[in-house]
Amino acid sequence: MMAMSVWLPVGILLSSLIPGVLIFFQPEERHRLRTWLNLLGALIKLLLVGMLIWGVFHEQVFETRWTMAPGLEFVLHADALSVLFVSLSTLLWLVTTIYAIGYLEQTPHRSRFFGFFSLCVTATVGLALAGNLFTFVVFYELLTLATYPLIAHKGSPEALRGARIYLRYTLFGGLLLMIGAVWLHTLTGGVEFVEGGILQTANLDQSTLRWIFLLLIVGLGVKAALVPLHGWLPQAMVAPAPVSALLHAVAVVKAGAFGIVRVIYDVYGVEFAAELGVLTLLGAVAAITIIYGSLKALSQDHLKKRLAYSTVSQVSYIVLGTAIVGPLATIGGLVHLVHQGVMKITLFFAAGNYAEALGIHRVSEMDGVGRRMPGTTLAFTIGALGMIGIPPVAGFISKWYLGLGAVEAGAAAWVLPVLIASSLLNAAYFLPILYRAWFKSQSAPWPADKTAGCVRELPDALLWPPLTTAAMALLIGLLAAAPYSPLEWAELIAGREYRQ
Amino acid sequence: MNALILMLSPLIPLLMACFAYRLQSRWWLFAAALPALYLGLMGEQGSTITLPWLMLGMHLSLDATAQQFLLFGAMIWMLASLYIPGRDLLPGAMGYRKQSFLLAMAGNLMLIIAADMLTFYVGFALMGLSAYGLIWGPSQRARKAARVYLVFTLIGELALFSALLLLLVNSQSLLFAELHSESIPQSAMALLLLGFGIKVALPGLHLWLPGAYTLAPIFGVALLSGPMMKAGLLGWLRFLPFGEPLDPLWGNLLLLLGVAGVVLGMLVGMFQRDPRSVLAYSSISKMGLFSALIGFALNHPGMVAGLLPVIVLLALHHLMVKPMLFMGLDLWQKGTAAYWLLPALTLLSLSLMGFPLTGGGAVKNLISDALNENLAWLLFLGGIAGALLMSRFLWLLWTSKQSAEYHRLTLSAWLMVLPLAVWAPFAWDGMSVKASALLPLLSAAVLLLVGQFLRRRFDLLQQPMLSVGNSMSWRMPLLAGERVKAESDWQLVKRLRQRYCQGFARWQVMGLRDSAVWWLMLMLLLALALRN
Repeated sequence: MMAMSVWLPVGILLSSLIPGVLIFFQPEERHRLRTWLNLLGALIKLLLVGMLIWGVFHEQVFETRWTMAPGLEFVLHADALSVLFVSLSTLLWLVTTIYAIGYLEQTPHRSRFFGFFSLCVTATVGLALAGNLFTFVVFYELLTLATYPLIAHKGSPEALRGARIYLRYTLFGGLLLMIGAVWLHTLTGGVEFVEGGILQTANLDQSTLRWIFLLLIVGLGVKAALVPLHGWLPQAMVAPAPVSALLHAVAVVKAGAFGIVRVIYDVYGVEFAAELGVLTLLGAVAAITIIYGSLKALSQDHLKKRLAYSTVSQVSYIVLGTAIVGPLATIGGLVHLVHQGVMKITLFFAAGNYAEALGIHRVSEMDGVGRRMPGTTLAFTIGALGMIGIPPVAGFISKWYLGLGAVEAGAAAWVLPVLIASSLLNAAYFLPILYRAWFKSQSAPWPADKTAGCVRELPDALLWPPLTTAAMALLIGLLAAAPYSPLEWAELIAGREYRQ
Repeated sequence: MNALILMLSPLIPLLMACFAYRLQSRWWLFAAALPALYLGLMGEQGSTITLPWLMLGMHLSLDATAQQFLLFGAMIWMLASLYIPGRDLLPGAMGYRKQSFLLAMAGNLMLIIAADMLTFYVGFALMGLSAYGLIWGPSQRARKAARVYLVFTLIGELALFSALLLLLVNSQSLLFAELHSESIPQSAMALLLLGFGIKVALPGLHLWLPGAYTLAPIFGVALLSGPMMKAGLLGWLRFLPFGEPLDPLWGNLLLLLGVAGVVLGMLVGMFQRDPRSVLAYSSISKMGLFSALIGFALNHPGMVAGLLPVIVLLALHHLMVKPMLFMGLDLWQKGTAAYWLLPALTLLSLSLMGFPLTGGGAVKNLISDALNENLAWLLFLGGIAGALLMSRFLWLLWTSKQSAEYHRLTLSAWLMVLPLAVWAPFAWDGMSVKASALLPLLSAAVLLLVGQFLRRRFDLLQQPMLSVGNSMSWRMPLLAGERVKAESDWQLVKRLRQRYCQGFARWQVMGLRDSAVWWLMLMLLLALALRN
C-alpha cells in the first residue's frame, strides 16, 4: 500500500508520457499501432485516476518526493483539488484522442501531432498533481512548449503566426510566474501547496506579498486569458479542432485558472488573501473579463473566434468564484472548472465537425445546418444552453453556486448584475446560432460539402465525442446532487479548504 | 402510486419530447397530459415525492391548488394538442412544434406540482423558453414576435433566478413550506414582481404579449393565454409572503400596476380591429385585475385565507375560458358556418366578463364576498372593462365574413369542453345572481351610447387610433403611422378630419349603437328574471 501511494502519481504521469515518447518514433503510416498506444495510455490513465479518486476520497495520502538539490524538491501530491482537475483532463483526453484520430485521418505529420498531444496532457496532469510551486512552474513551462507545435500544426503562415503570438504571450507570462515563484521561494524556503494556505503564519511583509501575488497572478492570468492578457487566445483558433478543444477545455486556459485557484487557496489561503486586499482587485478583473469577453464574442462571425471569446468570458467565472470569500462561491468556481470544460469541449467538437463535413467556419454560413447534421447540432445546442446557464445543463449549477456565494458573502450588489449581464450576453451570441441552425433553412450551398451522398452525417469517431460530452454536460447538471458528481467533489474540496 | 404518477406527469412529456421526431400523430401529444389529468381528477391530495439526487434535490407534491391547476391545465393542453395541424407534426417542419409543445407542457406541469423553488424555476424556465417554438412562424412578423417574447422571457427568468438566490440565502431552505420563516428582502420582492410580472403582462412588461397573441398559431395562443400565463400567477401565489407583515409599498405597487393594466388594456383593446387583438388586450386587462387583487391580499394579511382560494378559482376560470375563446374564434374564422358557434362564443364572452348565471358571474360573487365590501370599485371597473372589450370582440365577430371548410375533430372537441369552461365554477357556488352584478354592464351600455353620441357629434374615434396588432403600441392615439414630417399636431388633426370628410376608407371603431342596444335588452331580460 505504501508503494502504491508513492507510485500512483508517477504512474499517472507516465501513462501518457511513455505512449507520447513512443509515438514520436513511429513512422507515419503505422496508424493502427499509434491508435492502440494512444487509447491504451488513455485507458490506463483513466483506471489509475479512478484509484486515485477512491483513495483521496478516503483521505489517503499520495505523494512522491524527489530532492533535486538542497532546498529544491520535486513533489507530486494528490489532494482533492488536483483530483478534480486530473479526472477532468483524463476523461476529456480520452474523448479528444478518439476525436483527433477521426479528425486527422489521412493528414500528414500525425506522429508528431500525437506525440506532442500526449506531452501536452502529461504536462497538464503534472501541474494538476504538482505538490509545490516549483513543480508547478516546471510543468507550466513544459505545457507552454508542448502546445506550440500543436497550434502550429497546419504549418500555414496563419498557423505559424498564431502560434508565435501564443508563444510570446505565454513565455512572458511564464517569466513573471517564475520571478514570483523564485522570490517567494527565497523568502519562505520552499512553497508547498497546503489546504488553507501557508503564508498567513509565515509572518512576512505584507506589501512584498502583494507584489508577489501580482506577479504570480499576471503570470497565470496570461494562460487564463484575463483581460488584457487574453490577446493570444482568439489567434490560437487556427489550431486544428481537437487542439482547440483541448486548449479551451482542459489544457492551457484551464491550467492558468487552476494555477490561480492553487495560489489563492493553497499558497496564500483565501482568508489571508482577502485580508491583503488583493481579492477585490482580482474580482474586478474577473468581472471585467466576463463582460468584455462576451461583448467581443457578440461581434464575431467566425464560429471558433466566437467560441474563443466565450472561453475568455467563461473561464473568468472560475476566477470570480475564487475571488469571493466563502465556501459557496468556492464551490461555484471549482465546479465550473469541470463544467466549463465539458461544455466548451462539446462546442469545439461541434465546430470542428461543421468545418470537417461541410466547410462551415462562419456563423453566417450555418443556416439550416440542424437538418443536415442533427447529431452535431444537438450536441452544440446542449453546450450552448449550458453556457447561457439554462437548467438543467451543468452551467446552471455553476451559476447557481456563484450567485449563492455572492449573496452569502454580501457581494450580491455587484456580482449578480455581472452574472445576469453575462447570461444575457451569452444568450445574445449563442441563441442566434441555434436559431440559424434549427429554424432557418439553408440559404446558400455549403462551402465545402465532403459528406454529400452519405447516409450518416459523419464517421463515428467524429460524431460520438461531441454527443458523449454533451450527454455528460447534461448529466452532471441533472445529477449534480448525486454522489461523486463534480459538485459533490467541489463541496468536498471547499469543506477541506475552509476546515480551519 | 400517486407519488409515481406525480413524477410521471412531467416526465412523460419530457421523454416524449426526446423522441418527438418519430411521433407522427397528434394523439401522442394528447396522451402526454393524461397522467396530469388523472392527478387532477383522482389524485390524492398531500402525496409527495422527493428526488434528492436530481439536480440539487427536487420535491414534488400535490396540494389543493396544484390539483385544480392540473385538472384545468391538462384539459387545455389536451384540447390544444388537437389543434396542431398535421403538417406541423412532420419531422423538423414548422420550427419543431411538437418538441416545443411537449417541453412546454412538461415545464408547465412540473411547476404546478413543484414543492420547492428550484423545481418551480426549472419548470418555469423550460416552459417559457420552449414556448418560443410555439410562437415562431415563417413570416417576418411572427419571427419578430417570437424574438420579442424570448427577450422578455429571458429577462424574467434571470430576475427570477436572482430572486431565488436571495430567498434561499435568506431562509436557508428551498422548500415553499419553509420559505417565509424570515422576512423577505426588499430586493427579492422587487425581482419577484418583475420576474412573474412579465409572464402575467403587467403594464410596461406586456410588450411581448400583443404580438405573440396575434401572430402565433392558434394552439400556441391558447396555451400562452391559458396555462402559461396563469403559471406567472401561480408563481406569485407560491413565492409571495401572504399573511406576513410586509412593507405596504409592494402591495400598493401591485395594486396600482394592476389597475393601470385594467384601464390600459381596456382603452387600447377597444380600438383593435382584429378580434384576436381584442382578446389579447382583454388578457392584459384581466391579468391586471388579478395583480390588483394579489396586491390587495398582500396588504391585508387577515383576509388572505378567504381571498386566495377565490383568486385561484377566478384564475382557473380564466385559464379555461380564454383559450376556449381563442380556439372558438379560430373555428369561426376558419369558416365554421354553424350558427350555434356564435351563441356559444357569446356565452363564453359573457362568462369571461362575469355575467350573472355564468361561471364567471358566480366567481365574481365569491370574490366580492371574500373582499367584504373592499375594492368594490375595482370589481366595478373590471366589469366595465370586460363588458366593453367583449362587446367589441363580439361585434367584430358578427361583422366579419366567413369562408368555407372546417375541421370536425377540433370543433367537436371544442364543444365538449365548452360547458365545463362556463359552468365549472358552479361546483363551488350556487346559482345566485346579485343586482350589483348588473351595474358594470349598465355602465358599459351607457358608455357605449355616450361613445356613439361622441362619434356622431365630433367624429372622434373615427381613425385607427392605434396601430393594430403592433406589439409596441402604447403609442399616443391618432399618431400611429399617420404623421407626415414637419406637421404640427393641429395640422395633423385637421388633415385626418379632412380625410374623413372626403369619405376615405371609413373605419368603424365599433358597433357602438348595436352593442348598446344589445346590452340594454339583455339587461331587461335579466331584470325580469330577477323579479321572481
